[in-house]
Order: sequence, then structure tokens, then C-alpha cells
Amino acid sequence: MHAFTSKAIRNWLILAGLSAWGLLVVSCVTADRTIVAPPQIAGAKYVGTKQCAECHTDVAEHFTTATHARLVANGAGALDTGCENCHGPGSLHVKAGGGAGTIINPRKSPETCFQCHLDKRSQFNLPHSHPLLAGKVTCSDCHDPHQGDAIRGSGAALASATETCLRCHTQQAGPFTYAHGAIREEGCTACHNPHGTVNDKMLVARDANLCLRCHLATLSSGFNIGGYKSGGAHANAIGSRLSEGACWSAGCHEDVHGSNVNASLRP
Amino acid sequence: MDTHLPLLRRGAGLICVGAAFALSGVRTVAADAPAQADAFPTPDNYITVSGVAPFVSGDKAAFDARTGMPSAGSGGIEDLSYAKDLSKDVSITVNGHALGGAQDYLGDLKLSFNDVGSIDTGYKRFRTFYDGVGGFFPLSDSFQALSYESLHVDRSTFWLTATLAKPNLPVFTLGFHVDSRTGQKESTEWASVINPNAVVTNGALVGTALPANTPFIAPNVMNLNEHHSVLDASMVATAGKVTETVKASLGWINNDDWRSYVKYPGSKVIVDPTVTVLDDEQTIKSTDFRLINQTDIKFNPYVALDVGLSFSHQSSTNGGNWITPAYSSTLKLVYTAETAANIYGTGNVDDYVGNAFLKFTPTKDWLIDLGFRDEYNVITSSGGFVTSSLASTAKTLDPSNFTVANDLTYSHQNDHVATPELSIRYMGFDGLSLYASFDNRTNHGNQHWINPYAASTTAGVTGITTTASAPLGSIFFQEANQDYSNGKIGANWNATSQLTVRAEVYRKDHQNQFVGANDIIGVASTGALYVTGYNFTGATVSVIYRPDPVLTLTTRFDAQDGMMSVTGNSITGGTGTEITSGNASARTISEALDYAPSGQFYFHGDLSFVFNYLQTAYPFVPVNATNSIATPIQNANNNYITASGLAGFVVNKSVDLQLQGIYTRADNYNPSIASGGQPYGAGFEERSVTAGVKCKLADRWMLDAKVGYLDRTDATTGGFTNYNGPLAYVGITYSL
Repeated sequence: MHAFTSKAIRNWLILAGLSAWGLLVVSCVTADRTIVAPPQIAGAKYVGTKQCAECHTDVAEHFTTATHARLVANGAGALDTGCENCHGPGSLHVKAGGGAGTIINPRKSPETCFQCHLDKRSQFNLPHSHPLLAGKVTCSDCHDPHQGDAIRGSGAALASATETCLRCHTQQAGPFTYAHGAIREEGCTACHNPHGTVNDKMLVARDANLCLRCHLATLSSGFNIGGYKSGGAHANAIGSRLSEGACWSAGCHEDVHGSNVNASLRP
Repeated sequence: MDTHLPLLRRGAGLICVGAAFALSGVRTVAADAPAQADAFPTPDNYITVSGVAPFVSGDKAAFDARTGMPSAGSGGIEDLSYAKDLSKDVSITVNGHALGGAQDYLGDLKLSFNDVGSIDTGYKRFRTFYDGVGGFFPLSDSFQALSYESLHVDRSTFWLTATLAKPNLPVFTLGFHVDSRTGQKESTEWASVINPNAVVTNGALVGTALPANTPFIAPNVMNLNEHHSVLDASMVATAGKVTETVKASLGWINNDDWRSYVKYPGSKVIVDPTVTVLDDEQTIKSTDFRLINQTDIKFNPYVALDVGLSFSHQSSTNGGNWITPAYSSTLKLVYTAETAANIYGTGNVDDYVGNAFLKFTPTKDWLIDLGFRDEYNVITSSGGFVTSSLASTAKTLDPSNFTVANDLTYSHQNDHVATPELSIRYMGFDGLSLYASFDNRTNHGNQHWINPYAASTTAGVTGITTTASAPLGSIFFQEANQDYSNGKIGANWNATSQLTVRAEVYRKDHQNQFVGANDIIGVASTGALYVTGYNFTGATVSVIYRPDPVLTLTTRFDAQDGMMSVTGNSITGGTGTEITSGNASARTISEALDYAPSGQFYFHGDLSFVFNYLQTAYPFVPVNATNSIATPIQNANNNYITASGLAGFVVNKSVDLQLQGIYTRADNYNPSIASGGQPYGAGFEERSVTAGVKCKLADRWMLDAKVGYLDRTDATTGGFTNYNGPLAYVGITYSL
């Protein structure tokens, strides 16, 4: 198939737009049914969290500890601030005595989460992100919306902060003879944004700036970074390796997560 | 490209290619207003068969990587959902998909037995594509790709879980799963172009000195062969006011990953043809055991206590090689100097964690959680390898000219981490929830290693240059005292049925104190120099406004500012002084609009602007119209824009139509420093438009048909990974 020209695209867009408005007008006068924008349950209305708790006792019991429980408010105007805030109006689900087709399951689609987390929609749209939009992972693979802090390992939780990532990325778990201190500092998110960035490997910076946030000086006096030793590998000079790429690129500090050979995290 | 067809195909209710960008929060139905029935409800039992046919021009590997689907097309069973009661007490649930080409498979079978339990088994596998980009050199307009540009990694999981859940008895679960990750991916995407004789002003080459195009940093490939098996069991028992949960797991990791350089003809290093050489290999075989006990006690409606205990042990053996290849510029050979061959070693981790949460609910409006966590861990490791060095007087590569030595390092690290936490929530006002939380993590730990080996690698063979450098012998000791404070305060206010406002402010303040010494044998020590602290302050504000039942506007603003402090060096005020390095600022402004003026039409649009800036203490000279290149590193800008629009129409009683457009752009690419270093910054632009129709062919038959056009340009790779073209999708659903 040949590539479209920009003119063809423009014409197509004009045609599509006109067609869309034409169909809208036609549909308003000829159709007598509803089209629902997901995530919605057609024909359902809000019933309140107490109704949900009658069957989903285990979830309801622990929900007060969840980050999303902060959305819950009292009062008649806050009927949809509990379970139905994410799962949609539950009247049909209650009436049917349960069933997958009568309630929204956010595990099936991230659209429920994107309703509020607009920034995450944007991040997952970037070229370097976990394949959430392709349906290969879900928000709840990493976040528990029903119990405890949504960011696992936060505060006084029993789990550690890195466990979420290391369940899948076992190679980075170690233990290493020489471990990277960043793992101890902030965990994986010290360098990666797991939702997505414009940089390869979901890094928060694409080049040596990532490392220079913490490493301006190194163990040995011979390798102060940034010009101390003119002409050296880390020097501030044209021709220095620091300017050629990221510190972890091939041949240098490749084993950024930990090394069994070298204290400078060379392989 | 943002069509994300695999998800799309599974989005049974959607018409358009790119269901990933389907509606966000159409909150146009009032809380108590019933909506009309949907003409296309999702049936309980159904099978969807579909196919995708892209007709893309340009870099197909880039298309594969960006869209997550092969440019050659894919098809098969997109979705299978089946549930049936086999008898009064037994039911079966089957879910799955099998998409050839995309190598995306799922098979899940669950049998449920009333008042007895369930058995769940399944297999899932999906493929992630990589584009094998090696780097772009703007001065010579040349592009490096790996010799095998189309790369992919397959991730799979097999699981079998049995649950015994008889009434009034503890619930027992026994499970086994195997996770695998195999395939190839690129490990870095840039190389370098350096020639000190080349003069470039404002991105333009001045004079005749051409860039050397010397790939000091070469693209390389990661080969993954990772397997993780876990056997786990749990028991949950409730007796009166006490619920007891016990979990145990036993896991095995067997990983063998290695990395390969790829060298190219035309580079300063003359190797013809392209060669791939092993760079390094890491193998890990480990066994881990974990035991968790959780006790939840409800003393009364006002007070509850949750106590958790965890012990884990991991034992691993490591292996591999670290090879520093050297190249001859005249002999056209590759001499693979084994800097660290036959790596061997062991690692052990023992981790003890306990936590407790005391929960007060003095009235229905108050929730107070007081928590404490204590952790102690010990990590011991030893690593050794064989290293070889070429004698400086050697004239040949005969083995007799190499000196072989053993190197062995012992390391030990222990940490004691204590974390108190306080969380308070108040809901005493109608429609308003107020909350605050604070935790303070302190870590007292120490780390040391001993590496007695000291040697250097030299090479004197004519035509051979090597950058190999064996690690120097060292003794290192460090005591770490770290203090991390995290606090946040926020409110969720349902002001009226038309207006919801949410706001949160947070701050992270971390301080580090490192006391210790190191001694690189033969080199004067300067002590331990690391980040000394950092803090971040941020805020999030969301406003959901429904001026009319058919219109919802959602606005979200995220802001974060922070800085990191590091120990400076001689050019930043002297060794030992504390200076600011990671100066970071991020702003995200997002807006979503949902409009459904009638039951026959809806529209969703969203737009996000992201400004993300990072500056380090590294000397920086801004590039402008009059400023010649004086510094090889730019500040890191990670700005981008995303936007999408989606409209759905009812055409008649059996046909729906959906139109969608998506736009993404990042404009951080700046080639002005090309003479001094690799130009950095991501710059790309993506556009896609799609149109689809959904038809109810008969009572049980549904048709989805979609066409789209995609266009992506990438400045970072000089346009060498651009692609564009149409694609088509057809899916047929049959209700079982």
C-alpha cells in the first residue's frame, strides 16, 4: 500500500468530518437507542457502597485502608464516591445478583483509571511505556485499589518498595557483590517512570544527566566528574566519553542495577 | 502510532481502531439518572475472530515496536469468553485469545465447586517488539541500526491454582506458576560521533574536518533467557474477632542474559563485515523462600489491630563473563580480551520484616491509622573471576603472552530500617473528605567490601589497542545513616452535583549521611562521595465540572519541583562541599471533555501538556543563535504533548459509527552540540486517524470493521525510523 500524501489526508479528514456531522444529524432523527461511552453501564444507576458490601465483604472490610478510600465522602451528593466511582453504577449488577456483564471491571480496561488520572493516560501514550494500552498489563498488576497504599511498599506496609517491579524483572533483583545505591535510596523509580517517558527504557532522563543528579564525584580522586581531570573519561571536554552517550552505555557502567565484578558497576 | 489494535480488538463495545484511547470518564449520567439500554451489550459467552492488516511504508521495525503488533499483520481468535453451570454445584469459565503473528496467546480454564473451592489453570504469552536503533549522527547524516533490527522478547506465564474453601473452615490455596522472558532487545540506542578537529557552530559544520564517526559507544543487543518458578501456599482462617493469614512461597530463578556488541563497516574501527561479539554475560540461579504471617484483630467497632511478620531468604549462585573486545585497525580481526572470565560467586539475603497498624474509628467520621514497620536485612556476597592481561612487550597473541590471575571480592551489607506512619482521615462535612499522612523512614546500615586484587592490563601488539582495564584492588567501608520523610495532605470535595474538586500537596525530604573510607590500592582515597540529600514538593489539583448533565469537563494539574544535593568536586567549590545537582521541575496540565448531547452521540476529547526539565551541576552552556558549542551535555528536557478525540454515533438500530484522532509530539531534539557529543533529546511526532463501524448482522452476529491511517516522524533518529500508511481491521463476534 502506498503512503498517503498530506493532501489526501487532509481531504480524508474533511470527508470524515462532514460524514460524522451528517451521521449525527441523521442519527438524532432516525435512531431510538443509546450508544454508551465506556466505561459505563447502560441503564444502571448508583446504589451506594453499602449495597456492594453485602456480597463483597472481604473487599469492603479492607477498603478503608486503601488510597482510593480517600475519595469516599458522606452525604447524599456523594453517593458515587465509593465502589461505584470506579465500577460504575451498580443497580443492574445488584438486580442480577452479580455477573460480569453488569458491572465495570477496571482490570479489563484502563479507561476507568484514566477518568481521574489524566496524566497517566498521557504517559502511557508515549513510545516508551509498559504495554498497558495494548492490553498486555493492567493497572492492578502493580496497584491494589482495594487495600493499602496504591503505591505498594509505601509507608509502613509489609512489602518493600521494589517488590512490585522485581516480581517480573528478576534479573535486576540480585543480590550483587556491588549493588547500586540508588536501589537503596528510592528503588527503581529513582531512574525509571514505570508509566512511561519519552526516553528509552522509561528513563526519567535520556543521557548522562540521569547519573549526574547524584554522581558528581566518585570514589577515586582521579575520576572526579566534570572537568577535574582534563582529558579523562569523565572530563568536561569535547572528546570526553561523558559527552558521547549515557554513562551506562556499552563498554562503561553497563550493569547499573548491580555488578558481581566491579565496584563501578562495570559488567 | 497509537492505534493499539490488540486492545482495540478486545474492546468489545468499541468501534474504532485504538480503543486504548476510548472514552475517559463520561460522567454525563447523573448519579440517580437511569440511562437507556445499550443496543450492543457485551454477551456473557462469545467468541471474536479478527485480523489486522497494516500497509505501512518506512521502518517496519519501528512500527512493530511502537504499536506492539507486527507489520506483517496478525489474526486469529481475538477474544473467547465462556461460562456455564455444568451442574447444580459445578461451573466452568473459559477465557482466551490466540493471535498469530502478534504471538499473543491466553488460555484460562477455571472450575468452581460450590462450597468446596476452585481450580484455575492457564497459559499466557505475549510479544514485545524492539526496533534495534543504534544511533543517528547528524553531521554525517548516518544512521546506525543493529544488524538484526527487528527484535522481540516473549513473556509467558503458566499457572495452576487450587483453592479449598469449605464453609466455616479455613481457606487453603496452593499454586504453582512459571514465568519466562526470552528473546532479544536493544540495550542502548545511541552511539557517538566525536572528532575534536571538527568545528560546528549552531549545528552547521564549519571547515572540512569531518566527524570521525568513532563508535566509542556501540549499539548492542541484550539476549534474555529468564525463568522464574514459584510454588506458593496460603491459609486464611477466621475465628471470632481474629483473622489469621499465613503464606509461604518457594521460588527458583534461572537466568542467563548476555550482551553483544555490534560493530560496523565504515566506523573508524575497521571490521568488515559487520561482526557481533560477546560483551558480557550474567547468569543467576537462585532459590528464595518467604514466609508471611498476618493477624487482623477487630477488638470492637472502634479499634482494630493488624500485625504482620515476614521472613525471606534468598540464596544465589552467579556466573558469566565480562569481555572487553579490542579491535585491530589494520589486521581486521577481533581480539576478545577476557577481562573477567568465568565469573563465579554466591549471594545470600536474609530479610526480617514486622509491621503493625492500629486503627481507630472513634466516630463514623474519623479514621486514624497508626503504623510502624521494622526491617533488618543482611546481604552477603562473594564474587570471583579469572582475568587475563596481555604483556606490554608482547608482539603476538600467543597464549604465552597473557598473564592469567584470579580475582575474588567479599562484600557485606546490612540495613536496619524503621518506619513509623500516621494517617488521618475526616469525613465530618457533607461531601468533603480531608486526609493527611506522614511517614519517616530511617535507615542505619553499613556496607563493606574487600578486593585484594590489583593489576593492570596493557597491550603492545602492533595494531592492537585495548581499553580493557581490570578492576583495581580496593577496600571499602561505609556507614550509612539515611532519613526519609514523606508527608501529604489533601481534600476531596463534592461541592455540588456539578462540581468536584480534589487537591493534594506532598513533600519528600531525604537526608543522607555517609561515613566511611575507601582505598583504591595505589590511588589516594577521597572518602565516600554520594548524594547527600534531596527534596521534592508537589501538588495535584483536579476539578470535575458538569455544567450540564450531558457535559463534563475534567481538569488536572500536576506540579513537582525538587533538587538533589551532592558532594562537589574541585571545579564546583572543592571536594567535600555540598552543592545542588539534580534541579528538576515538572508540570502537567491535562483537560478532558466528555459530551453526550443525546443517547445517539458522544464525544470525548483530552489534551495534556507536559513540561519536564532537569539540570545537573555538570557545567552547562546554553545553546543559542550566537553561542558556539562549548559544552557536550545539554540539560534534559522531556516535554511532550498528547491529544486525542473520539466520537461515537448511532446510525440506525443496528449500526454504530466511531471516529478517532490521536496526536503526540515531543520536541526536545537539539543537534547543536553534535560536534561535542551525541545530540540528545527525544523529538518525534505521531498522528493517527481511524474510523470504524459496528454492525449487528443478526441476533448472535456482530461485525467490527475499522480503517486507520498512521504517520510517525522521529527527529532523534534523523527520520530513519519514520513510517506511515493505512491499516485495516475486521472482527466478527458470535454470541455463544
